[in-house]
Amino acid sequence: MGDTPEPSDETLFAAWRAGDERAFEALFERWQAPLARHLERMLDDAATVDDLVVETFLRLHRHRDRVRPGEPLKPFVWTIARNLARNRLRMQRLWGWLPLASAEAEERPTPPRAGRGEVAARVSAAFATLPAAQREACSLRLLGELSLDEIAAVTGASLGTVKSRLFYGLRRLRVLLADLDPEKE
Amino acid sequence: MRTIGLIRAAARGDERDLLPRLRAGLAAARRSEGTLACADERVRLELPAFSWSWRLATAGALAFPFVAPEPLRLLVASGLL
Repeated sequence: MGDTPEPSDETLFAAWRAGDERAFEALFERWQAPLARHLERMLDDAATVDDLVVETFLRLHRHRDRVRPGEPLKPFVWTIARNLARNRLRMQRLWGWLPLASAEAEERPTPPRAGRGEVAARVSAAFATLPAAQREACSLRLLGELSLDEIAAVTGASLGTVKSRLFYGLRRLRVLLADLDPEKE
Repeated sequence: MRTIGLIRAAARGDERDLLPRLRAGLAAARRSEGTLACADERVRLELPAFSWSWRLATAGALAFPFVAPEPLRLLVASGLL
């Protein structure tokens, strides 16, 4: 049974459109973790991330007819997530202007998360120092596990631009996190 | 490559299973889709009741040209214009 190759994303999607509900859930199980990791790096808010992961798949459900046959599904889904995250960030910036919202944010402490140790905090801080485009490219590659072509399709940038963003982003991350590397000690 | 491994390991702290939330969301979406479909079938054209006041107003409007064939002259004669 272990030798059975996993069905492709597009096969699962076609099966779901043909009425197989389990295929949609299999897609969700396949992508929810990398999607959540990527969104968390972009937003740094666990509660919002959960909402957006679910909302991404609800949008996919709603707009399933927009996916053309033969079109790769992964960039389509990641683009939905990207748009939702950008909208959420815009809203957060808008709310940040209001004094009431900032007071509420001060009162509500960030809930501690399991496994969120010093390393996670350092990684989060290192990502935060990157320019937005480099942060997105690095997050999509390292946490979302997208290929270079898929990143280009999601961000609308050329392949060369994606490579450049990854190169500079990773170089900076290596510098910032160098002291955490056990091999360098 | 160590840095990449470090970043990935740091992100895998706690992974939540959101499948129950997705199922609930899909069920709600289907319910709303069903409601919209039913609402389309339930559309009825309802006219207001033709009450006595409406009948009187209609009769007056229809009779007016016969009572006053030249309404302008009537208004001038009555001092309203």
